[in-house]
Amino acid sequence: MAGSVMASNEAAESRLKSSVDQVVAIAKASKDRPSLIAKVQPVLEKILDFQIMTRRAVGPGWRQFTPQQQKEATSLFTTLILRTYTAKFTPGEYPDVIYKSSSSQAPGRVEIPTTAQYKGSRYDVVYRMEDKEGWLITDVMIEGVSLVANYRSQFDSEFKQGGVNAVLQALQRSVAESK
Amino acid sequence: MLALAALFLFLAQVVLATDTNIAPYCVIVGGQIIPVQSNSSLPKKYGGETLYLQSGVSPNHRPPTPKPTPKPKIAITPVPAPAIPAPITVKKPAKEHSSHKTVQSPSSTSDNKSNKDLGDDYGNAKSISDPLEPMNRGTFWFNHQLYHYVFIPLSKTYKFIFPQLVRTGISNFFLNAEYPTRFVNNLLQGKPGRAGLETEKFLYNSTVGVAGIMKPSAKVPWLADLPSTDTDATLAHWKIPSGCYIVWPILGPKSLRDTVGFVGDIALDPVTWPTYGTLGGVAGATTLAVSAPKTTTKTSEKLDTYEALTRTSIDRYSAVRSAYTQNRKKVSEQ
Repeated sequence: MAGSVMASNEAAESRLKSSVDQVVAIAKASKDRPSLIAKVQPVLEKILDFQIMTRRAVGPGWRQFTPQQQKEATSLFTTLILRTYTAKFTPGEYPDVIYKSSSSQAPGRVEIPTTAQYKGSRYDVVYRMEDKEGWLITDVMIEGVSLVANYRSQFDSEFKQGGVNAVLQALQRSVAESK
Repeated sequence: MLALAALFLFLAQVVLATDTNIAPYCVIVGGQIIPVQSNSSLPKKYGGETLYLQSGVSPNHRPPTPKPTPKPKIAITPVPAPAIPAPITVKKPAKEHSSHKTVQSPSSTSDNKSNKDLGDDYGNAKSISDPLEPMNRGTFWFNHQLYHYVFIPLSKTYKFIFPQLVRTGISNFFLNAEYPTRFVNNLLQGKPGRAGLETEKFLYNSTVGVAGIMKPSAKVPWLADLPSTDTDATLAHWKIPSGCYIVWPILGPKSLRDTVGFVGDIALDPVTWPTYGTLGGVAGATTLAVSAPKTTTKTSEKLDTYEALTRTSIDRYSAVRSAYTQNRKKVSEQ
């Protein structure tokens, strides 16, 4: 048991490290921001699990979405997450990431705490990964703030006000405004 | 221009971060905000006129209303229907358990424990009680206009004048100078070991790091990750509840407890010390002169966080409140 946990921790860690290394390599090589974001995007798409992130961010209200609405919400939320992620990317600047020892809360789940030194500041970043036919990131906590929980609190207030449509409209508005 | 920037930013302490032991209930009685542990701990005399104004965003802190149905047992539910239909989850269907059984509204969210069992806990973070939400939203809107139209442009000017390297130096210097805050609060939290390490770090950075402008301690393994602390964390450590959420004009969000903590932090900050004893005069001017660049640098950093957080948000107010609450929890637990 202990052995399998160790093995899954290692598998998740190596997956995360290779993705971070790819992003760093791209940031080093890129000359301008648009090309940097264009190149980083596919890497992020491979390592982040957008379906799960969207569903958990929406929370229990998700069941009231029709399949079509779920698809739309996932696609809009994916755009927002990618924007959130790439907002701070600057060509030539890249984080110095230190990995700390990971822990497993449940089978198929691993949390990897890291420290990222970026543009003169130090951030505690915890990656939450889950084994879904390969290890994928399902949440990121920066300085204790979980991305999924942060969006959940926002979706909750929209959902309370106007149900599924309010959530979708808010997503559309946010995607349009944050361009 | 700089003087103007400094003056504006001196007024600003956009505090976006900070809390734990969140949310006892807050009641408003006769215009006063009174934090209480629970419905039952309310003094009888307030009983009749008490206003329970929960934010409603999170169900986790509602008064424990007696429910006939206890926490549902997961095994019994015959409805593990896949929450996501095929078109979306082509890649990863089966493994994920369906999340919640009743999904009438978010308020039917089961508590943290049962969510954990269902593998859906990441969305649930403790939230803070926000009985003043309507007023807070008003202040929040005002602050946003101020940040957006005044502070952020000023901050950009500041960043243009001072390159990253200089800003980091200024930031390091003041962070190092705040050593008394961390030292005292570590002691008050019964962590003499950490207080000792803080002292070592302070001495090292003040000497080798040239008065703290550089941060050589970042290269020392046992000093690099020393968690920061403050007065609010001490109050949390003493099990004082956070009280409700308040958005202050200019200052931004704080819990009731953190508002007290903020005053404590100011008192422990050497930058403000010259004002003690002789109010105003030369001493006051010294404090102002020293604290202006400090506030400018700090505000500029915090505005960056604010911008990053709210740019891709759905609801700015909820995003900041949630981030504040989660971050405070981390700071006071570490």
